[in-house]
Amino acid sequence: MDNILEMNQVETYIGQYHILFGIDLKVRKGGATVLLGRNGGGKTTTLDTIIGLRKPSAGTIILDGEDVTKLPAYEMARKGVGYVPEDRDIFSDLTIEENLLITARKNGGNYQERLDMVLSLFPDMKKYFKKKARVLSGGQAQMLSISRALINDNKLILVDEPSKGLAPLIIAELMEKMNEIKQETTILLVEQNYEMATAVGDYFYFVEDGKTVFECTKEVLLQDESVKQKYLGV
Amino acid sequence: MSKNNKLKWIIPLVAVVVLLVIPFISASSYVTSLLTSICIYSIFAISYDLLLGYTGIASFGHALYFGLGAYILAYTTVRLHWPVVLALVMVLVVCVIISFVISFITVRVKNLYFNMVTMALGQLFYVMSTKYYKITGGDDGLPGVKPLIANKTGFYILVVIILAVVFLFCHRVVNSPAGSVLKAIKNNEERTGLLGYNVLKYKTLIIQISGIIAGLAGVLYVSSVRIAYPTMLHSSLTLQALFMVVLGGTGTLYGGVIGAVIMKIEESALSGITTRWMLILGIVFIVVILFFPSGTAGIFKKLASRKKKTEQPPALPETKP
Repeated sequence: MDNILEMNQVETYIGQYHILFGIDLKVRKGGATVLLGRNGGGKTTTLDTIIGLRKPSAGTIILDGEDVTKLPAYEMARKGVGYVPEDRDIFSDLTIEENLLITARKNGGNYQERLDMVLSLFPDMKKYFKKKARVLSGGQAQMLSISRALINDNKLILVDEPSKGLAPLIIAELMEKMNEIKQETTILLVEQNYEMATAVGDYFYFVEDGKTVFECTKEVLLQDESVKQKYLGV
Repeated sequence: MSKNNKLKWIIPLVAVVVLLVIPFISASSYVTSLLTSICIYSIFAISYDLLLGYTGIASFGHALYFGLGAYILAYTTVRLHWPVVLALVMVLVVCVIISFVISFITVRVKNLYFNMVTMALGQLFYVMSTKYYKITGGDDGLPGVKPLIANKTGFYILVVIILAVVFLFCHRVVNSPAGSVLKAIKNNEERTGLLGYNVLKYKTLIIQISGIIAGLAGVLYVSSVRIAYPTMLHSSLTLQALFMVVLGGTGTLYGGVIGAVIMKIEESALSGITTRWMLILGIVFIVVILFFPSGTAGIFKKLASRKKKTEQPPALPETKP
């Protein structure tokens, strides 16, 4: 099986609003697949649907060969899908250590090994290890949010706009880290920042009005100006 | 063990020793009764703090378990003449079942809806206690309850010991891995689910633990006043627990004890002076909410952290896009 995740004609409503009209997606094992598109196109809803925060009204979601279409979020997490949401959602009343521990408990065994890896990737987490997460800056909170997804041996990590609200210097550092992370696991990334998307992504899907309208490799995206113009307005 | 950790345990230990010694120093049975009442309300407040302070659940029907504990002990021992041990087992079983049923109904709704549903269920039991006269004695209540220990001082010592055990147990719960999950649920319920935790299961569990402790407080209370009456199920009793926890400081456990001490001493002192003592308590509550939102415990914490603050490394500034 080459694909870790497949979405076939997935449709999702939020309340009475029809948001996704037919998402077709194949995320290959290893590397980073990126969802690109204008604001309001349905990229975040796609991630929310995969992780089980929104129930799809039609279509199927296959994770590593298993139908997970109707699974709730906590079961998706147990199946090895990590989520780094747009607003980070760290537990500000818990320490950095507790934030990582509470995530790692479902991991069963190799916590110390994963922790060493996370702390070597994000040394700031070591510095603030015993501090409440509320002392972290925006960039550090993002690092913690990603650390939590990495503390488990996840087979797929969904990352929603990690560069949002961060200074250019921190984005550059984050790009570097994301490239290291994709050597370890598979990433499905939603990103508005074109530079970051192309620096990290290997394969791209364009989402427009709740549908996947185009897909291409990194080479095509970088070379074909018409694609950028048509789908991103660059 | 660090100095801070030692201090953390020395204060409650000294408090328990002082509480145990007081009846032997003071000859006044009024003082013993007041302290008994404070300890029982402390247990009730601690049970509420597990919900509000650690899980972020604001139940307006928590008195239901307090009243259930009281009524079951009264009914089984007075009407059915069961031995106390069997009655206590019954209290435990009923509290587990009712708290499970109530949590099953309520944990799926959030915020205001949760508040309203819990209040409605609590008030339902209150109304039932006034209407089912044959079982509950209606507005007259169920008198004739025998105390768990006939000697007043002996009963007081039992209550102090139970308070200490409940405190230790709750301390273990909130500092266990499951306790971290509860704090995470309070911070962000949805996010906790995304980590692989079945949030509804944890919420159900804490509602049950809290319900059993509240039921235990009800058992001790009915054993102390020797009558079960409908107000023990009323939402105003839940509001008293809320008052005590907020006054003392939420999410601390000992905050509930501080709140119970302040409230019961104030009540005892003011009710002798004026019939409008509730008004004064109300004003105190508003002042606390406005100026000390973290309660009395928050004031202590602030004073303690003032010294530490200079040692804390500064966070990088948040950068806006």
